[in-house]
Amino acid sequence: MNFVVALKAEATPLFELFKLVKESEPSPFPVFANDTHRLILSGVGKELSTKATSYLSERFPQPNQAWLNFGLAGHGTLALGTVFMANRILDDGGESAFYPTQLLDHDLESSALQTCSSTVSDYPDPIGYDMEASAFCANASLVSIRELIQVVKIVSDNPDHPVGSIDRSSVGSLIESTLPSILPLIDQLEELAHQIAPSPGLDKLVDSGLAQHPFSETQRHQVRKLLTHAHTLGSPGKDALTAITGAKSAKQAISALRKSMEQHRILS
Amino acid sequence: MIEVIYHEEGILDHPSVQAILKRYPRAILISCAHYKDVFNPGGQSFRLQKQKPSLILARQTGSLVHPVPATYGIGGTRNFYFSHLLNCLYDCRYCFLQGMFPSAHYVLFVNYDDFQDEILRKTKESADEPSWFFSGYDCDSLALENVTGFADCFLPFFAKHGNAYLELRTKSVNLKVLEKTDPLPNVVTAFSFTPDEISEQLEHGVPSVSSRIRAMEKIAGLGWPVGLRIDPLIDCKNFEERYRTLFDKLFANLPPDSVHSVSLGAFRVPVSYFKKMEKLYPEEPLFAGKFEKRGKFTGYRQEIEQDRSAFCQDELLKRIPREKLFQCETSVKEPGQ
Repeated sequence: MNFVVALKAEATPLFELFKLVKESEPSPFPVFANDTHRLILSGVGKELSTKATSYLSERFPQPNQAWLNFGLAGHGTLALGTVFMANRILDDGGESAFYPTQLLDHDLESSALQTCSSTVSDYPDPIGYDMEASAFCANASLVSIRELIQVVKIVSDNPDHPVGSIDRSSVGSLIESTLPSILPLIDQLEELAHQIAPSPGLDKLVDSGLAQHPFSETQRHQVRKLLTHAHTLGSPGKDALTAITGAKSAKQAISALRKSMEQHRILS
Repeated sequence: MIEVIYHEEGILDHPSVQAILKRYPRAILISCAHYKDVFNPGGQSFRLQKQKPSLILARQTGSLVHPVPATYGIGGTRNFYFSHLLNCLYDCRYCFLQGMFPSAHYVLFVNYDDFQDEILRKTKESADEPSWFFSGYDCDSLALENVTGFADCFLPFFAKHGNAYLELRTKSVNLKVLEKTDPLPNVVTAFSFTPDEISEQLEHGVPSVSSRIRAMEKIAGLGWPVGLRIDPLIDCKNFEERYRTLFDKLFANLPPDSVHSVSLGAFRVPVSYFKKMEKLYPEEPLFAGKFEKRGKFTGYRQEIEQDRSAFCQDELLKRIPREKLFQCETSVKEPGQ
């Protein structure tokens, strides 16, 4: 699970909740992590958000991880402290709108959000306003599916309480008070990511199979597919590996594997 | 249950949209410039979206009625399909839609009057011959009837145009719209079936075979012509026994005169769709079957396809006259068509 957050004040409650520790490795952006969560402090604005999201995805390159952009935003109509899920992310620079797939169960407000290049103080429409989300989505979607990319914002300013009146010292407590409503979203995102993750048993079988011979790239693809079928059809992985290890060459191994699979290739 | 509704800008005043919004007053409404902005982007997971599809309300433009492949038909020579709805309520693992569409959201085109105008134009092009219109190519024709009101709107239209024939293709048992309407000789409700054991494994969310047979018998008893679609044929253990049992059940109580047509369809999907389907469900046993690429399509190996198809044809011909049996050589349009 990856978090991209602009400012330390917005992220501090998450550090504490997940016991995230700052990484000591030199990095252009501060990264905080535990075994399963990573948080990067991007700084304010689209350009920094782009760079931070890309950096985190390159540093931890597993595909289809969950990504959450979290922080404060202005809003044209919602009250201060309201948490909302962004459902349509617009960009004042003319980038295409991004529609995060709405799969998560929640009782939060749902709102469009416009990412702006500079601070908005007039809130012209009944939508949210921030400075990072569109860049975050554009870059996270290069490495993950849209269902796993979400933006959650907390209203820090609105027409009655414009951006200049934000009390910086209260940001931490504002964020902290919203965490109980955000944690279920994080759990659901992680569960969705888990659902489409490759089976660990299959990965282990494939790794063992591929280690037996010097397969070419095309052959590796064939072995991977055949072992996936073996795993899927419930034929013992041991039999599949025996077919591979008993062969004298990579080509023979694929042939033997294919032959051993043949009888199993029928739906129950 | 629809929780999220996307709508194209400028469509909210349409009466069908108003009716749908009234039906789902708590749905989250999200506007978009064009339905493709939500439906078409890459990097969407059809598999995850299928858990909770949203509804996209749009207006279809351009050509709305298209010719179907020459090898597809149930007796007519002028065959067309139209898609008022993209995607299906059900989640059949063999369905080509999951390989064809980037998204599992339902797209409902609400401008039914435009579809009807074009159907009428096509029908009038050939007053001597009937024109067939297939409505279940990109969706199940009736499964979302409570939302779409499709049959409710189109049955009166086809009642007025006897030279236009409509095929409703479905796995639904919610046939109230047919039960409350006087039967029409030019509307065939076609039910797709696989044997119980296959249905239970592969047709997620679909009513049981028995309940579909009961629903079919009910409308047949009311005088509606029905079609049987043994499509796609799925290779499996005990194939012959399972398909023979299915055929026995299908014809046990069906009035013979009510059977308009029976069609057999091999499991063939465009290669690119099949690859995508495999990728979506890498651990699905169906996709580990004895498949091969033939031209632009992936299907069961030719000898298997021919053998299973010949068996089913022989069994069906014991139960229906030859003129009612049709073989659909390619059940899916090629990409880009």
